[in-house]
Amino acid sequence: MARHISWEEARNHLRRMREDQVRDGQTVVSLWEDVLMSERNKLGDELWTVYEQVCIAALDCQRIDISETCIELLKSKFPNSLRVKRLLGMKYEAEERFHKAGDLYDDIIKEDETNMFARKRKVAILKAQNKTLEAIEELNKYLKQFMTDFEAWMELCDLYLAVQDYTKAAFCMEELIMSNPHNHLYHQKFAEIKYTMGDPDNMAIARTYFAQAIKLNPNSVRSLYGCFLASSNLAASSNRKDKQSNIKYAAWAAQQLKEKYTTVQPEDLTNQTRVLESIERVLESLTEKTSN
Amino acid sequence: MAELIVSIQAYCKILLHAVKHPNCAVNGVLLAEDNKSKDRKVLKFVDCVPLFHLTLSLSPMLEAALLQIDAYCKSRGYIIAGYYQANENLRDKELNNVAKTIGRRIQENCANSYIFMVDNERLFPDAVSEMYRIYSPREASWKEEEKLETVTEETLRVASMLLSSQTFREVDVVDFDYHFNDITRDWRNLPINDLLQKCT
Repeated sequence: MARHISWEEARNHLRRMREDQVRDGQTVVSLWEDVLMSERNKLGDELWTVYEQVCIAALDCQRIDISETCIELLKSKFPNSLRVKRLLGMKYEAEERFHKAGDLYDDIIKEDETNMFARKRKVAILKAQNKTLEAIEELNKYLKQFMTDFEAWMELCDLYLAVQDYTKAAFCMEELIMSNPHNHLYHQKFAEIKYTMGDPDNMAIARTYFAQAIKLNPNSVRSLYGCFLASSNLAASSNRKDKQSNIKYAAWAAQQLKEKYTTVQPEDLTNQTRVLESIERVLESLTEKTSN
Repeated sequence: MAELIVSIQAYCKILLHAVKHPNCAVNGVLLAEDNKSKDRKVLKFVDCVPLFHLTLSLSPMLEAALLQIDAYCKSRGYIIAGYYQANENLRDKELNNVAKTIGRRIQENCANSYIFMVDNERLFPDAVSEMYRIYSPREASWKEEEKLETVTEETLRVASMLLSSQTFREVDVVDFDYHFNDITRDWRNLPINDLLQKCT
Protein backbone atom coordinates (compact mmCIF):
# COMPACT_ATOMS: atom_id res chain seq x y z
CA MET A 1 0.00 0.00 0.00
CA ALA A 2 1.70 3.18 -1.16
CA ARG A 3 1.70 5.97 1.38
CA HIS A 4 1.97 9.54 0.28
CA ILE A 5 3.00 11.00 3.58
CA SER A 6 6.28 12.54 4.63
CA TRP A 7 8.76 10.82 6.89
CA GLU A 8 8.06 13.41 9.60
CA GLU A 9 4.37 12.60 9.55
CA ALA A 10 5.15 8.92 9.77
CA ARG A 11 7.53 9.50 12.65
CA ASN A 12 4.94 11.61 14.48
CA HIS A 13 2.28 8.99 13.89
CA LEU A 14 4.53 6.34 15.44
CA ARG A 15 5.22 8.64 18.39
CA ARG A 16 1.50 9.11 19.01
CA MET A 17 0.94 5.37 18.82
CA ARG A 18 3.68 4.81 21.41
CA GLU A 19 2.22 7.43 23.73
CA ASP A 20 -1.36 6.18 23.44
CA GLN A 21 -0.22 2.56 23.50
CA VAL A 22 -2.23 1.77 20.39
CA ARG A 23 -1.90 -1.80 19.22
CA ASP A 24 -2.03 -1.78 15.43
CA GLY A 25 0.77 -3.87 14.01
CA GLN A 26 -0.20 -3.52 10.37
CA THR A 27 -0.11 0.28 10.40
CA VAL A 28 3.26 0.42 12.16
CA VAL A 29 4.76 -2.08 9.75
CA SER A 30 3.51 -0.26 6.65
CA LEU A 31 4.63 3.13 7.98
CA TRP A 32 8.06 1.62 8.51
CA GLU A 33 8.37 -0.29 5.25
CA ASP A 34 6.79 2.26 2.95
CA VAL A 35 8.04 5.50 4.45
CA LEU A 36 10.50 5.49 7.31
CA MET A 37 12.88 2.67 6.50
CA SER A 38 14.57 4.55 3.68
CA GLU A 39 14.78 7.74 5.76
CA ARG A 40 15.87 6.10 8.98
CA ASN A 41 19.15 7.98 9.21
CA LYS A 42 17.08 11.11 9.87
CA LEU A 43 15.63 9.70 13.10
CA GLY A 44 18.72 10.14 15.27
CA ASP A 45 18.52 8.37 18.60
CA GLU A 46 14.81 7.82 18.20
CA LEU A 47 15.71 5.14 15.67
CA TRP A 48 16.29 2.58 18.42
CA THR A 49 12.89 3.16 20.04
CA VAL A 50 11.35 2.88 16.59
CA TYR A 51 13.17 -0.40 15.93
CA GLU A 52 11.71 -1.77 19.15
CA GLN A 53 8.23 -0.57 18.20
CA VAL A 54 8.49 -1.98 14.68
CA CYS A 55 9.84 -5.27 16.02
CA ILE A 56 6.86 -5.82 18.29
CA ALA A 57 4.42 -4.68 15.58
CA ALA A 58 6.03 -7.06 13.11
CA LEU A 59 5.55 -9.94 15.53
CA ASP A 60 1.88 -9.03 15.76
CA CYS A 61 1.56 -9.48 11.99
CA GLN A 62 3.80 -12.53 11.70
CA ARG A 63 6.47 -10.56 9.83
CA ILE A 64 9.23 -12.49 11.53
CA ASP A 65 11.67 -11.31 8.89
CA ILE A 66 11.33 -7.68 9.95
CA SER A 67 11.50 -8.53 13.65
CA GLU A 68 14.72 -10.52 13.17
CA THR A 69 16.35 -7.60 11.38
CA CYS A 70 15.34 -5.21 14.15
CA ILE A 71 16.61 -7.54 16.86
CA GLU A 72 19.98 -7.97 15.09
CA LEU A 73 20.44 -4.23 14.76
CA LEU A 74 19.39 -3.57 18.35
CA LYS A 75 21.71 -6.33 19.59
CA SER A 76 24.72 -4.87 17.85
CA LYS A 77 23.99 -1.43 19.31
CA PHE A 78 23.12 -2.68 22.83
CA PRO A 79 25.00 -5.98 23.20
CA ASN A 80 24.14 -6.92 26.78
CA SER A 81 20.71 -5.44 26.98
CA LEU A 82 17.98 -7.42 28.72
CA ARG A 83 15.46 -5.22 26.98
CA VAL A 84 16.67 -6.52 23.63
CA LYS A 85 16.80 -10.06 24.96
CA ARG A 86 13.09 -9.90 25.81
CA LEU A 87 12.36 -9.00 22.17
CA LEU A 88 14.09 -12.20 21.16
CA GLY A 89 11.89 -14.03 23.67
CA MET A 90 8.79 -12.47 22.13
CA LYS A 91 9.97 -13.56 18.70
CA TYR A 92 10.18 -17.15 19.95
CA GLU A 93 6.66 -16.75 21.35
CA ALA A 94 5.40 -15.54 17.97
CA GLU A 95 6.96 -18.64 16.40
CA GLU A 96 5.23 -20.73 19.08
CA ARG A 97 8.63 -21.94 20.36
CA PHE A 98 7.36 -21.60 23.89
CA HIS A 99 10.04 -23.70 25.60
CA LYS A 100 12.83 -21.64 24.09
CA ALA A 101 11.04 -18.45 25.05
CA GLY A 102 10.46 -19.69 28.60
CA ASP A 103 14.13 -20.63 29.02
CA LEU A 104 15.23 -17.23 27.77
CA TYR A 105 12.93 -15.43 30.22
CA ASP A 106 14.27 -17.63 33.03
CA ASP A 107 17.76 -16.46 32.07
CA ILE A 108 16.65 -12.85 32.25
CA ILE A 109 15.14 -13.40 35.68
CA LYS A 110 18.34 -15.05 36.88
CA GLU A 111 20.28 -11.99 35.78
CA ASP A 112 17.75 -9.56 37.17
CA GLU A 113 15.34 -10.73 39.88
CA THR A 114 13.28 -7.57 39.64
CA ASN A 115 12.56 -7.88 35.94
CA MET A 116 8.78 -7.58 35.83
CA PHE A 117 8.60 -7.91 32.10
CA ALA A 118 10.12 -11.37 31.82
CA ARG A 119 7.89 -12.66 34.60
CA LYS A 120 4.78 -11.38 32.86
CA ARG A 121 5.86 -12.87 29.55
CA LYS A 122 5.97 -16.25 31.27
CA VAL A 123 2.30 -15.79 32.13
CA ALA A 124 1.64 -14.79 28.53
CA ILE A 125 3.27 -18.01 27.30
CA LEU A 126 0.88 -20.06 29.42
CA LYS A 127 -2.07 -18.00 28.24
CA ALA A 128 -1.07 -18.51 24.61
CA GLN A 129 -1.25 -22.25 25.13
CA ASN A 130 -4.66 -21.98 26.80
CA LYS A 131 -3.16 -23.15 30.09
CA THR A 132 -5.38 -20.75 32.00
CA LEU A 133 -5.07 -22.39 35.42
CA GLU A 134 -1.27 -22.43 35.25
CA ALA A 135 -1.30 -18.84 34.06
CA ILE A 136 -3.40 -17.89 37.09
CA GLU A 137 -0.94 -19.64 39.41
CA GLU A 138 2.05 -17.93 37.81
CA LEU A 139 0.39 -14.52 37.91
CA ASN A 140 -0.54 -14.97 41.57
CA LYS A 141 3.12 -15.70 42.33
CA TYR A 142 4.10 -12.56 40.44
CA LEU A 143 1.61 -10.39 42.31
CA LYS A 144 2.91 -11.54 45.69
CA GLN A 145 6.12 -9.74 44.78
CA PHE A 146 4.80 -6.90 42.64
CA MET A 147 1.48 -6.14 44.28
CA THR A 148 1.14 -2.61 42.94
CA ASP A 149 1.10 -3.67 39.31
CA PHE A 150 -2.44 -2.65 38.29
CA GLU A 151 -2.18 -4.06 34.81
CA ALA A 152 -1.40 -7.45 36.34
CA TRP A 153 -4.39 -7.32 38.68
CA MET A 154 -6.65 -6.54 35.69
CA GLU A 155 -5.18 -9.43 33.75
CA LEU A 156 -5.67 -11.77 36.72
CA CYS A 157 -9.28 -10.62 36.98
CA ASP A 158 -9.82 -11.48 33.31
CA LEU A 159 -8.18 -14.88 33.75
CA TYR A 160 -10.49 -15.68 36.66
CA LEU A 161 -13.47 -14.57 34.55
CA ALA A 162 -12.34 -16.93 31.81
CA VAL A 163 -12.68 -19.84 34.25
CA GLN A 164 -15.84 -18.32 35.73
CA ASP A 165 -14.38 -17.93 39.23
CA TYR A 166 -16.34 -14.75 39.92
CA THR A 167 -15.44 -14.57 43.60
CA LYS A 168 -11.73 -14.35 42.91
CA ALA A 169 -12.27 -12.03 39.96
CA ALA A 170 -14.23 -9.72 42.27
CA PHE A 171 -11.34 -9.85 44.76
CA CYS A 172 -8.94 -8.59 42.08
CA MET A 173 -11.24 -5.67 41.37
CA GLU A 174 -11.42 -4.92 45.10
CA GLU A 175 -7.63 -4.60 45.14
CA LEU A 176 -7.84 -2.17 42.26
CA ILE A 177 -10.63 -0.14 43.85
CA MET A 178 -8.68 0.15 47.10
CA SER A 179 -5.69 1.57 45.26
CA ASN A 180 -7.72 3.76 42.89
CA PRO A 181 -11.03 4.62 44.57
CA HIS A 182 -11.84 7.36 42.08
CA ASN A 183 -11.66 5.24 38.98
CA HIS A 184 -15.27 4.66 37.89
CA LEU A 185 -14.23 1.84 35.56
CA TYR A 186 -13.09 -0.28 38.48
CA HIS A 187 -16.36 0.24 40.36
CA GLN A 188 -18.28 -0.56 37.22
CA LYS A 189 -16.42 -3.78 36.47
CA PHE A 190 -16.73 -4.89 40.09
CA ALA A 191 -20.46 -4.24 39.89
CA GLU A 192 -20.71 -6.22 36.65
CA ILE A 193 -19.00 -9.20 38.27
CA LYS A 194 -21.30 -9.03 41.31
CA TYR A 195 -24.33 -8.80 39.01
CA THR A 196 -23.17 -11.85 37.08
CA MET A 197 -23.01 -13.85 40.30
CA GLY A 198 -26.78 -13.47 40.28
CA ASP A 199 -28.05 -13.97 43.83
CA PRO A 200 -29.93 -11.10 45.57
CA ASP A 201 -27.14 -10.16 47.99
CA ASN A 202 -24.61 -9.77 45.21
CA MET A 203 -27.20 -8.02 43.04
CA ALA A 204 -27.68 -5.45 45.81
CA ILE A 205 -23.92 -4.92 46.03
CA ALA A 206 -23.85 -4.55 42.25
CA ARG A 207 -26.52 -1.87 42.39
CA THR A 208 -24.54 0.03 45.01
CA TYR A 209 -21.32 -0.06 43.01
CA PHE A 210 -23.07 0.91 39.78
CA ALA A 211 -24.49 3.87 41.69
CA GLN A 212 -21.00 4.80 42.87
CA ALA A 213 -19.72 4.54 39.30
CA ILE A 214 -22.51 6.87 38.16
CA LYS A 215 -21.55 9.32 40.91
CA LEU A 216 -17.96 9.30 39.66
CA ASN A 217 -19.01 9.52 36.02
CA PRO A 218 -22.61 10.57 35.39
CA ASN A 219 -22.18 10.02 31.67
CA SER A 220 -21.52 6.34 31.85
CA VAL A 221 -24.24 4.55 29.90
CA ARG A 222 -22.94 1.19 31.11
CA SER A 223 -23.29 2.17 34.76
CA LEU A 224 -26.77 3.59 34.16
CA TYR A 225 -27.87 0.39 32.47
CA GLY A 226 -26.24 -1.61 35.24
CA CYS A 227 -28.08 0.32 37.92
CA PHE A 228 -31.34 0.07 35.97
CA LEU A 229 -31.09 -3.68 35.46
CA ALA A 230 -29.83 -4.45 38.96
CA SER A 231 -32.65 -2.44 40.55
CA SER A 232 -35.20 -4.06 38.25
CA ASN A 233 -33.96 -7.52 39.14
CA LEU A 234 -34.15 -6.73 42.84
CA ALA A 235 -37.61 -5.21 42.51
CA ALA A 236 -38.84 -8.27 40.64
CA SER A 237 -37.52 -10.78 43.12
CA SER A 238 -37.15 -9.28 46.57
CA ASN A 239 -39.59 -8.96 49.42
CA ARG A 240 -41.87 -6.00 50.10
CA LYS A 241 -39.36 -3.96 52.12
CA ASP A 242 -36.91 -3.41 49.33
CA LYS A 243 -39.31 -3.47 46.42
CA GLN A 244 -40.59 0.10 46.32
CA SER A 245 -37.14 1.64 46.69
CA ASN A 246 -35.78 -0.57 43.94
CA ILE A 247 -38.61 0.42 41.64
CA LYS A 248 -37.73 4.05 42.36
CA TYR A 249 -34.05 3.43 41.60
CA ALA A 250 -34.92 1.60 38.40
CA ALA A 251 -37.24 4.40 37.34
CA TRP A 252 -34.58 7.01 38.06
CA ALA A 253 -31.90 5.16 36.10
CA ALA A 254 -34.35 4.59 33.24
CA GLN A 255 -35.08 8.30 33.17
CA GLN A 256 -31.38 9.14 32.94
CA LEU A 257 -30.92 6.61 30.15
CA LYS A 258 -33.89 7.88 28.17
CA GLU A 259 -32.64 11.46 28.50
CA LYS A 260 -29.20 10.40 27.31
CA TYR A 261 -30.60 8.62 24.28
CA THR A 262 -32.95 11.40 23.30
CA THR A 263 -30.40 14.17 23.70
CA VAL A 264 -27.27 12.52 22.36
CA GLN A 265 -28.46 10.07 19.72
CA PRO A 266 -29.92 11.24 16.39
CA GLU A 267 -33.68 10.96 16.51
CA ASP A 268 -34.30 8.48 13.74
CA LEU A 269 -31.66 6.15 15.16
CA THR A 270 -33.47 6.16 18.50
CA ASN A 271 -36.75 5.47 16.77
CA GLN A 272 -35.45 2.73 14.52
CA THR A 273 -33.65 0.83 17.24
CA ARG A 274 -36.61 1.13 19.60
CA VAL A 275 -34.36 1.89 22.55
CA LEU A 276 -36.91 3.82 24.56
CA GLU A 277 -39.53 1.12 24.16
CA SER A 278 -37.16 -1.55 25.40
CA ILE A 279 -36.48 0.40 28.57
CA GLU A 280 -40.19 1.19 29.07
CA ARG A 281 -41.12 -2.45 28.77
CA VAL A 282 -38.89 -3.44 31.68
CA LEU A 283 -40.33 -0.67 33.85
CA GLU A 284 -43.88 -1.63 33.00
CA SER A 285 -43.30 -5.23 33.96
CA LEU A 286 -42.12 -4.05 37.38
CA THR A 287 -45.14 -1.94 38.12
CA GLU A 288 -47.43 -4.71 36.83
CA LYS A 289 -46.03 -7.03 39.45
CA THR A 290 -46.65 -4.60 42.29
CA SER A 291 -50.28 -4.14 41.34
CA ASN A 292 -50.87 -7.89 41.63
CA MET B 1 -33.20 -31.24 10.80
CA ALA B 2 -33.67 -27.69 9.74
CA GLU B 3 -31.89 -26.18 6.82
CA LEU B 4 -29.91 -23.12 7.75
CA ILE B 5 -29.24 -20.22 5.46
CA VAL B 6 -26.83 -17.48 6.45
CA SER B 7 -27.09 -14.34 4.36
CA ILE B 8 -24.05 -12.59 2.99
CA GLN B 9 -24.73 -9.71 5.35
CA ALA B 10 -24.72 -11.89 8.45
CA TYR B 11 -21.69 -13.92 7.35
CA CYS B 12 -19.53 -10.97 6.37
CA LYS B 13 -20.32 -8.99 9.50
CA ILE B 14 -19.15 -11.89 11.65
CA LEU B 15 -15.99 -12.06 9.57
CA LEU B 16 -15.34 -8.32 9.76
CA HIS B 17 -15.94 -8.22 13.50
CA ALA B 18 -13.52 -11.07 14.14
CA VAL B 19 -10.72 -9.69 11.97
CA LYS B 20 -11.12 -6.19 13.36
CA HIS B 21 -10.01 -7.46 16.75
CA PRO B 22 -7.37 -10.11 16.07
CA ASN B 23 -6.10 -10.09 19.63
CA CYS B 24 -9.49 -10.32 21.34
CA ALA B 25 -12.32 -12.74 21.68
CA VAL B 26 -15.45 -11.41 19.97
CA ASN B 27 -19.07 -12.39 20.04
CA GLY B 28 -22.44 -11.38 18.69
CA VAL B 29 -25.91 -12.57 17.82
CA LEU B 30 -27.52 -13.58 14.55
CA LEU B 31 -31.01 -12.45 13.62
CA ALA B 32 -33.36 -14.68 11.71
CA GLU B 33 -36.69 -14.15 10.05
CA ASP B 34 -39.35 -15.03 12.57
CA ASN B 35 -41.26 -17.47 10.44
CA LYS B 36 -43.87 -18.83 12.79
CA SER B 37 -46.37 -19.11 10.02
CA LYS B 38 -44.03 -20.04 7.22
CA ASP B 39 -41.98 -23.10 6.45
CA ARG B 40 -40.51 -24.34 9.71
CA LYS B 41 -37.84 -26.31 7.96
CA VAL B 42 -35.74 -23.40 6.77
CA LEU B 43 -34.13 -20.95 9.18
CA LYS B 44 -32.81 -17.91 7.39
CA PHE B 45 -30.31 -15.69 9.21
CA VAL B 46 -30.62 -12.29 7.63
CA ASP B 47 -28.34 -10.15 9.74
CA CYS B 48 -26.08 -10.16 12.74
CA VAL B 49 -25.31 -7.72 15.52
CA PRO B 50 -21.77 -7.71 16.92
CA LEU B 51 -21.79 -7.56 20.70
CA PHE B 52 -18.43 -7.34 22.42
CA HIS B 53 -14.70 -7.59 22.05
CA LEU B 54 -13.65 -6.70 25.59
CA THR B 55 -15.12 -8.88 28.34
CA LEU B 56 -17.54 -11.43 26.94
CA SER B 57 -18.55 -13.19 30.10
CA LEU B 58 -20.30 -10.56 32.20
CA SER B 59 -24.09 -10.37 32.29
CA PRO B 60 -25.27 -6.76 32.70
CA MET B 61 -24.06 -5.37 29.37
CA LEU B 62 -25.14 -8.54 27.62
CA GLU B 63 -28.64 -8.14 29.01
CA ALA B 64 -28.74 -4.45 28.14
CA ALA B 65 -27.67 -5.25 24.58
CA LEU B 66 -30.16 -8.09 24.18
CA LEU B 67 -32.92 -5.80 25.43
CA GLN B 68 -32.19 -3.29 22.70
CA ILE B 69 -31.72 -5.89 20.00
CA ASP B 70 -34.90 -7.70 20.99
CA ALA B 71 -36.99 -4.54 20.71
CA TYR B 72 -35.43 -3.85 17.33
CA CYS B 73 -36.15 -7.40 16.19
CA LYS B 74 -39.80 -7.24 17.16
CA SER B 75 -40.24 -4.12 15.08
CA ARG B 76 -38.75 -5.85 12.03
CA GLY B 77 -40.20 -9.33 12.36
CA TYR B 78 -36.86 -10.85 13.30
CA ILE B 79 -35.82 -13.02 16.20
CA ILE B 80 -32.46 -13.60 17.89
CA ALA B 81 -31.82 -17.16 16.82
CA GLY B 82 -28.07 -17.51 16.77
CA TYR B 83 -24.92 -16.67 18.67
CA TYR B 84 -21.38 -16.45 17.33
CA GLN B 85 -18.10 -16.35 19.17
CA ALA B 86 -14.48 -16.26 18.11
CA ASN B 87 -12.04 -17.13 20.88
CA GLU B 88 -8.96 -15.13 21.76
CA ASN B 89 -6.33 -17.70 20.88
CA LEU B 90 -5.69 -18.49 17.24
CA ARG B 91 -5.93 -22.22 17.73
CA ASP B 92 -8.77 -22.24 20.23
CA LYS B 93 -12.04 -23.22 18.58
CA GLU B 94 -13.54 -24.82 21.64
CA LEU B 95 -17.19 -24.36 22.48
CA ASN B 96 -16.36 -22.99 25.92
CA ASN B 97 -18.52 -22.20 28.95
CA VAL B 98 -19.11 -18.61 27.96
CA ALA B 99 -20.55 -19.72 24.62
CA LYS B 100 -22.66 -22.43 26.23
CA THR B 101 -24.08 -20.06 28.83
CA ILE B 102 -24.98 -17.36 26.36
CA GLY B 103 -26.25 -19.97 23.90
CA ARG B 104 -28.63 -21.29 26.55
CA ARG B 105 -29.81 -17.77 27.29
CA ILE B 106 -30.71 -17.28 23.66
CA GLN B 107 -32.34 -20.66 23.50
CA GLU B 108 -34.70 -19.59 26.31
CA ASN B 109 -36.20 -17.09 23.90
CA CYS B 110 -35.93 -19.12 20.74
CA ALA B 111 -35.94 -22.89 21.08
CA ASN B 112 -34.60 -23.41 17.59
CA SER B 113 -31.34 -21.54 18.01
CA TYR B 114 -27.74 -22.28 17.10
CA ILE B 115 -24.20 -21.47 18.18
CA PHE B 116 -21.65 -20.55 15.52
CA MET B 117 -18.11 -21.08 16.85
CA VAL B 118 -15.64 -19.34 14.58
CA ASP B 119 -12.53 -21.27 13.66
CA ASN B 120 -9.88 -18.55 13.63
CA GLU B 121 -7.63 -20.66 11.44
CA ARG B 122 -10.18 -20.43 8.64
CA LEU B 123 -10.09 -16.62 8.59
CA PHE B 124 -7.87 -16.09 5.60
CA PRO B 125 -8.52 -15.14 1.96
CA ASP B 126 -7.96 -18.56 0.40
CA ALA B 127 -10.19 -20.46 2.80
CA VAL B 128 -12.65 -22.64 0.96
CA SER B 129 -14.88 -23.69 3.77
CA GLU B 130 -17.21 -21.75 6.03
CA MET B 131 -15.45 -20.09 8.92
CA TYR B 132 -17.53 -21.58 11.73
CA ARG B 133 -18.72 -24.81 13.25
CA ILE B 134 -22.41 -24.94 14.04
CA TYR B 135 -23.87 -26.38 17.22
CA SER B 136 -27.49 -27.11 18.04
CA PRO B 137 -28.95 -27.65 21.50
CA ARG B 138 -29.39 -31.24 22.65
CA GLU B 139 -30.82 -31.63 26.15
CA ALA B 140 -28.06 -30.54 28.54
CA SER B 141 -25.35 -30.00 25.96
CA TRP B 142 -24.64 -28.92 22.38
CA LYS B 143 -24.07 -31.12 19.38
CA GLU B 144 -22.03 -30.20 16.37
CA GLU B 145 -24.00 -30.14 13.14
CA GLU B 146 -21.65 -31.47 10.52
CA LYS B 147 -21.95 -31.22 6.77
CA LEU B 148 -24.12 -28.14 6.83
CA GLU B 149 -23.71 -25.71 4.00
CA THR B 150 -25.13 -22.41 5.03
CA VAL B 151 -23.68 -19.91 2.57
CA THR B 152 -23.47 -19.52 -1.18
CA GLU B 153 -20.33 -19.50 -3.31
CA GLU B 154 -20.99 -15.81 -3.85
CA THR B 155 -20.81 -15.16 -0.11
CA LEU B 156 -17.52 -17.01 0.22
CA ARG B 157 -16.16 -15.06 -2.74
CA VAL B 158 -17.10 -11.71 -1.23
CA ALA B 159 -15.68 -12.75 2.15
CA SER B 160 -12.42 -13.74 0.51
CA MET B 161 -12.30 -10.45 -1.37
CA LEU B 162 -12.88 -8.42 1.80
CA LEU B 163 -9.81 -10.07 3.31
CA SER B 164 -7.48 -10.13 0.34
CA SER B 165 -8.16 -6.55 -0.71
CA GLN B 166 -7.54 -5.34 2.85
CA THR B 167 -10.96 -3.68 2.71
CA PHE B 168 -11.62 -4.99 6.19
CA ARG B 169 -9.08 -2.52 7.54
CA GLU B 170 -11.07 0.47 6.34
CA VAL B 171 -14.48 -0.70 7.46
CA ASP B 172 -15.82 0.43 10.82
CA VAL B 173 -17.50 -2.37 12.75
CA VAL B 174 -19.66 -0.99 15.54
CA ASP B 175 -20.37 -3.45 18.30
CA PHE B 176 -22.07 -2.86 21.63
CA ASP B 177 -18.75 -2.18 23.34
CA TYR B 178 -18.35 0.82 21.05
CA HIS B 179 -22.03 1.73 21.30
CA PHE B 180 -22.02 1.89 25.10
CA ASN B 181 -18.95 4.11 24.98
CA ASP B 182 -20.62 6.44 22.50
CA ILE B 183 -24.33 5.96 21.85
CA THR B 184 -24.26 7.85 18.59
CA ARG B 185 -22.56 4.82 17.04
CA ASP B 186 -25.08 2.60 15.31
CA TRP B 187 -24.81 -1.13 15.97
CA ARG B 188 -26.91 -1.91 12.91
CA ASN B 189 -23.79 -1.15 10.85
CA LEU B 190 -25.74 0.20 7.85
CA PRO B 191 -22.55 1.29 6.02
CA ILE B 192 -21.44 -2.35 5.95
CA ASN B 193 -24.81 -3.35 4.46
CA ASP B 194 -24.27 -0.75 1.73
CA LEU B 195 -20.73 -1.92 1.07
CA LEU B 196 -21.87 -5.51 0.72
CA GLN B 197 -24.65 -4.49 -1.67
CA LYS B 198 -22.00 -2.94 -3.89
CA CYS B 199 -19.90 -6.10 -3.83
CA THR B 200 -22.59 -8.38 -5.20
